[in-house]
Amino acid sequence: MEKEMISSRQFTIITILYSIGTAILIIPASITNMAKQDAWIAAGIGVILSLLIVKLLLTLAKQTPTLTFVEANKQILGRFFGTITTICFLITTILSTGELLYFIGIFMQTEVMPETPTMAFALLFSIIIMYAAYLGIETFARSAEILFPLFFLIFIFFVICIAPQITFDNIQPMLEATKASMLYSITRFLSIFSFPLVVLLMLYPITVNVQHSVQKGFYMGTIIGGIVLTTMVTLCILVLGPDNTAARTFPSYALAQRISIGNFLQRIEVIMAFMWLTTLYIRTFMYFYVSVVGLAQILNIKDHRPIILPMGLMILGLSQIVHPNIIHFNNYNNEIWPILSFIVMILLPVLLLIVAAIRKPKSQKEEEV
Amino acid sequence: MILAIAFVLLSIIIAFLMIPKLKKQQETKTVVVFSILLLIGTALNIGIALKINIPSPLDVITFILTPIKEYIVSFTK
Repeated sequence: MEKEMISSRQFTIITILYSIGTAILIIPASITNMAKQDAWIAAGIGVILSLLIVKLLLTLAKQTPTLTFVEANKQILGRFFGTITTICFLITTILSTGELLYFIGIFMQTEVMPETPTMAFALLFSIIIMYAAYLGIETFARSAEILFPLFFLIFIFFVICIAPQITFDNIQPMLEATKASMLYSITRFLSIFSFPLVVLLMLYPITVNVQHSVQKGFYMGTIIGGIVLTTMVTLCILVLGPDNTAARTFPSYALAQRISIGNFLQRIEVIMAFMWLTTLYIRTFMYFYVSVVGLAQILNIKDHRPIILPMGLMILGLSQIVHPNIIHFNNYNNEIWPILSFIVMILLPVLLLIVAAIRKPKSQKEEEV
Repeated sequence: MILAIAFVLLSIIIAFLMIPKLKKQQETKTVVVFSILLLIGTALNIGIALKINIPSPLDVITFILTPIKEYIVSFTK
């Protein structure tokens, strides 16, 4: 299999769209639930804290410049422990892929086509994902490049259209949230926005051709993604009000429904839904690609393409069973997912760094001998 | 029922398309992994098509992590 390469610009674009991902739809509700009208502050702090996480990931990537995350696990922790941690990581990504497919289905079903079963949307979307994974990361990066300007055009249009409806009473009184609720909100924000960035380590050291500018791109991507999300949360609070935002499953879609310019330009939310479908596509693809490639690497299979089809069938099935209903989904995402993603996506890289730091002097001595 | 049969047919078609090709390249390991994944996927989808109640795999994770969650919640209160 020939080695695939993407440019640093493409990597930045993938980072932006990936970090926005599902967050753009569910974050406003889940963090406004706790911090009420101060949720936008929580989002802002969350973005700044994410830069530390990016720093951590870049430090790890520097340790193993020629390996992907899965291979680095094996290299640093040894064959046995490396396999165990990799399996935990892969289980998380596979389940998340199923969850995202469920999410697409439930979004389309509740908001756009109420009588179609979620299986239909999941099937259509999984076909796109499988095809993209089959064509490889280069093609995917180019498709992200095409979708990116469209995404931003629609986003700017969205912000301009909704701006007349802003009422500043909604955001007052400021700084009322308690410390605990603030902490929970920031954790939820981080767990969806920046913990999963570790998935990008499957791309970063080996498939990107200009190493130095990529580091800058990683930071830039996270910051831009964070700005988009903070804008979204702020707009939701300003227009819908904190209680209304917290009560909805998809507050930003409700926000798009409010767009009305001169009683003429209205009900354009489905055009706005393009934004969410784009970012969902990028995020689902990344999780799926990482699961497939990671599985191939851990089992020492040369080419990952043959296992795409059975994996696709599996995630299609998973998408139907991961969450029996939306309450299960909310409970899981607000309470369990932050802990799971913290263990798998933050503690694991930290562990790798510590072990690498301990082992490195030893291996240097061996070389000298 | 029809959906279940469709899934069986689909997986048979996938198997017939891919396995001979892989055998020609002499990748026994890939064939084994491919077959296991396909079996899991097909079984899962048949179960869904026949409306059998399959518990969510996330419940296992929830069960494991609930003590940690409760500890953290008690810590902040």
